[in-house]
Amino acid sequence: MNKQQFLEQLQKKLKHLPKRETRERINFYSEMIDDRMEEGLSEEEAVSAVGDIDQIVEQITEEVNTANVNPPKRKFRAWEIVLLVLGSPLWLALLIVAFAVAIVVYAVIWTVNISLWAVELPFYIFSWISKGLFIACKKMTEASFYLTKKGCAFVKKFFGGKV
Amino acid sequence: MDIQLKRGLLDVCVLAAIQNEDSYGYKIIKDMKPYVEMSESTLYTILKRLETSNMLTVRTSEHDGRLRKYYHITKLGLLRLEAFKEEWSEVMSIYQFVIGGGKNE
Repeated sequence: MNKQQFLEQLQKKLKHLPKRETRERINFYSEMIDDRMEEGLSEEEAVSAVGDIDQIVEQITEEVNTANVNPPKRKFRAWEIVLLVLGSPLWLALLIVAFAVAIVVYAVIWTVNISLWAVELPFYIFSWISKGLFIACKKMTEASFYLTKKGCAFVKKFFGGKV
Repeated sequence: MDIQLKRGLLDVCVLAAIQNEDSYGYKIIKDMKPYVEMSESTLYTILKRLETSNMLTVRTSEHDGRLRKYYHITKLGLLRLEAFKEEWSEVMSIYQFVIGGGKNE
């Protein structure tokens, strides 16, 4: 068996392990075979020196199982809790910052909305004012015409056609 | 041999194999061979365990156009070795007592 075949078979038989672990183990065996070949063994010899695949798989399975029975993980969890508590000033602060940033973003969006509306507002006001001015001018013109007419009639009546 | 005892012993053996200079998988096996035979998968498990308990660190570096992992002992690993030596002088005196048939000469 050559190295490639050996590693492929091993990979197939370790399918039940997590992918990352399988990859790491494959790399480990690959390095072992390469190191033996570097020392002068042929590829076949190096592969067989590493051992019988089924035995290897059996041993790995056994080791993984006993490793799972002994929980060194509990220690890690305690560590995590300690880290979580010790790190609380840091992550709480970060959480608050993240919250503040969210509020600022929200506020900015609204400010932009309002300012866009505010930019339009003067135009509305201007148009209202100009419309009003226009109407006022018109009324004043009408009034002046009316007054002139009335004035002329008054003058005519007062002077009795002497003008 | 008791499995817990053996496991502890092998851990210390691997630490001893890297205590003076960084080493790699095959060299560790070779260095230990005259004293204790160890399979690749056993070594892998021990290296993993020592790494997770911060007794050693791993670095990958290129060797001859391929990658090779080198293992470096940490301060904690060195402390473990020292502790082992102390513990075992006690164990050895117990051993002497057992060998001597449990008598105080």
